[in-house]
Amino acid sequence: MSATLRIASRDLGAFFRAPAGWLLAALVLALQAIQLHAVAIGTERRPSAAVLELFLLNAAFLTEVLAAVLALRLTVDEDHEAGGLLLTAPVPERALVVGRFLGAFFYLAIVTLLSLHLPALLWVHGKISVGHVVTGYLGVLLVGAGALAIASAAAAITRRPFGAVLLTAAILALLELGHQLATVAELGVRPWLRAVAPVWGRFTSFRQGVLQLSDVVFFASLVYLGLLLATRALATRRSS
Amino acid sequence: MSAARPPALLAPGLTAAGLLALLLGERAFGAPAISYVGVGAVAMATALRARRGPRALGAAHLALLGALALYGLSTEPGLDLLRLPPGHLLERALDVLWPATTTLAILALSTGERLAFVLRAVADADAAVGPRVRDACLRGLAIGLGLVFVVSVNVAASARDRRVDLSFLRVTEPSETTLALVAAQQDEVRAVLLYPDAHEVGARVRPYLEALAAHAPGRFSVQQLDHALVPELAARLRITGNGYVALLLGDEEAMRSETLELGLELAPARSRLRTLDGRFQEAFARLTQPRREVALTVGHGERSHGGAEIDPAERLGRFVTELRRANIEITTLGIAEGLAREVPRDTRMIALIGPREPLAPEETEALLAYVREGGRLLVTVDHEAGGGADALLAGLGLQLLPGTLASEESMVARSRTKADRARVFAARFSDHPLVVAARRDATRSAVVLERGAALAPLDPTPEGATVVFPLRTREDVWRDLDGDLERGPDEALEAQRVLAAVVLRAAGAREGRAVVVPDGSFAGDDLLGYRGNLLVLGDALRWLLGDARDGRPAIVGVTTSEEDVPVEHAPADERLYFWLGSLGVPLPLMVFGLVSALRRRRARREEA
Repeated sequence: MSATLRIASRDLGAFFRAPAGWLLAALVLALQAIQLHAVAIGTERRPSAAVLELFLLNAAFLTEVLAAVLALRLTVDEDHEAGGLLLTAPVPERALVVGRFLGAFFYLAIVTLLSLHLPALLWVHGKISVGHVVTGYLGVLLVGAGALAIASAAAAITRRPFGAVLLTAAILALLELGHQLATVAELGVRPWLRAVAPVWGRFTSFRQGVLQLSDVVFFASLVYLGLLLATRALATRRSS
Repeated sequence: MSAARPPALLAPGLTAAGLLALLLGERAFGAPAISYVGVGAVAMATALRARRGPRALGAAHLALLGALALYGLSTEPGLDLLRLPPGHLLERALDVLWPATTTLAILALSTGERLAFVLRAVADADAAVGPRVRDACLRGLAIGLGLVFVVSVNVAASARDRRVDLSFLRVTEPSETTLALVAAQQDEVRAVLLYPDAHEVGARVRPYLEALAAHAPGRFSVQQLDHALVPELAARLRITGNGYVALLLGDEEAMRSETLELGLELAPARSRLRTLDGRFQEAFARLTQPRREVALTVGHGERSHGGAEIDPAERLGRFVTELRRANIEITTLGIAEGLAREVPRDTRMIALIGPREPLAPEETEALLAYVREGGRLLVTVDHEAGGGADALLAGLGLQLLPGTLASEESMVARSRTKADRARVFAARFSDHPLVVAARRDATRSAVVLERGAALAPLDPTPEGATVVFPLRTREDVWRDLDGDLERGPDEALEAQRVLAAVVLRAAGAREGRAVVVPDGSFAGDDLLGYRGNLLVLGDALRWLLGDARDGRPAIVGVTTSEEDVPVEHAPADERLYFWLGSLGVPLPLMVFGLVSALRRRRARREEA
């Protein structure tokens, strides 16, 4: 097993060894169920596809929040024993960053996929396609991956766990707010502001059941860029 | 004596201020003077770094100046200077190059300057500072290259974008009504699918038409043709391209036709494909069915289809659509048309939909006389309308019982308030033709009434009248007499009759028929959104128009549709779903996690 996968499996195991990992998963799943019943279905008679869209939209935002919380576990704090060990471990920075990212991503993916029973209810009672659900969940996972990549970069830059959470949340909030600000921004800037918002902008096609190449490429780019930044930041810390 | 050392932040400060001035000059104020000051500041910083400091920083500053020069060339004065014709390749290259090089230079510069600031105290003494600053610049450059790469890939992906729509798309299958309509046809109807071979929309429509052809061989046939190959037919149908289904009846000069436009693009055609059965039925009925009329009474505050309703949910939009699909047109019947004297003889059917004001005795008598003489009458009436239709109901052998139907179990949740108790559903059907389709569909649909009432037979019934109640609620419904929607001691739970089929037979006359629904909003758009209501309405129209005087059966009924359905749960189900969904997965997960974590902790403690 390569160093990357060893780190990933170790980190994934750590999530499920601690009660906090289970509690967090249970909390997220409960929130997903509540948002489906209270917000997506709500009191209006929405068509099933509209309910699914709204559910996926809320699920994507919840996933961003979950990714920001997971930044707590992505930091490498040299003041702590484990962090110091990781920093001095004989593994390349890339393996360290990608391994930790994959561990957190697998955890996020498991929690996300455990909520599949919720859209299944809509599938039984409404007129939605399996393809719509699959596309939507692929989008949620991509949003999660993108947010976790940002969290990885934030964790590498800030060093402190809560600093990483705050920085991740701030970056994600800025990107999402940019989409809302696009309506009042300069004409030339508007498409860019809309294009970099993960959920409001790029997730729209996924929640509508449309698989769009440019959106998949965007999330892949976000992951690449986040991990690149994290790797470079970690390299700088190691060299100093 | 050594020369005075400039402050460590002077060069980066000048660069930052210069870039800010340039940004403001170009974007905010549109003042070239501010831009020139900005460029000057960056040039000064470059000169400073060229004289003193690590060489990598000097190079990075020079690169930034170069990037700004590229920007200058990409502006209007710059292009004039280059004398490039509009749209020249170099102009487009400059538009890409200046942001890329600026990003690279700024990132290399900022990472290098940051490290140079950190190491400023040992910069003169330590020979390793220069290489370390160079490495930092290269790290920044690497991040910049990554960013440029990512942006380029995204721009390329947007330019060559591909979309795969995986959302719900199913073309309707022919409904029983459509199959009956086609099977009842005497002369062959030819369907011409005007699409090229293997077209994505045409390929989805063809199975629908082939199912009809298989059901009625000799009465319906299908062929697919490209518009360009049949110019004469296209000209006759006034069709300018592919994307249509043409229905043809008869030959040569006597040929009649109807066309259905579905389109060539799949995305806009989706909604049309989902409702293909209804569209086809309407076109087919126009082509093959005699034109019939149904008269809606007016002058008593009835629900209407003209858009005058206060509540859009009570408009008769869907009701009118269903009639039009069977080639039935709507007319009006009021005092001006003779309702207070005698119903015109050629009136095939009258609909009295939710009157809110009383009928005049003469009008009541004219309607009853019309039914006794073989006329057909559909009545939907509110018990809260002041009893204005009581005399008419009495003439049909019926009465409305006092109180609004309410239930805590047989209700449909809408507002999640107590008012939902008056939104009662009924799903107990007899084997009367009035509810045959709804009964067949009883496992997945029910008839919903909003503030409806219960019906009861009059004792004795009028002479020649036969009254049947084909639909009832469950036993958990009460008649709310005091209006509080709480069940009081005098409000017994019982199965309530919510639909009546009346047959009046007079000597020598055709059998008169009437259908009565004790809810004035039954035919409104809101309640017709429920499948059960639509099925009952279809069967009611079919029963009322069933033995037509013109010798051809009236085929009226619901169509199949793959249009999306609203998601709504009855409260009992909802509670189950809610708790199952909310806690069914998370709670066991949490318990399992906590137990296994505690076990692990105990095992570790024992080991220790």
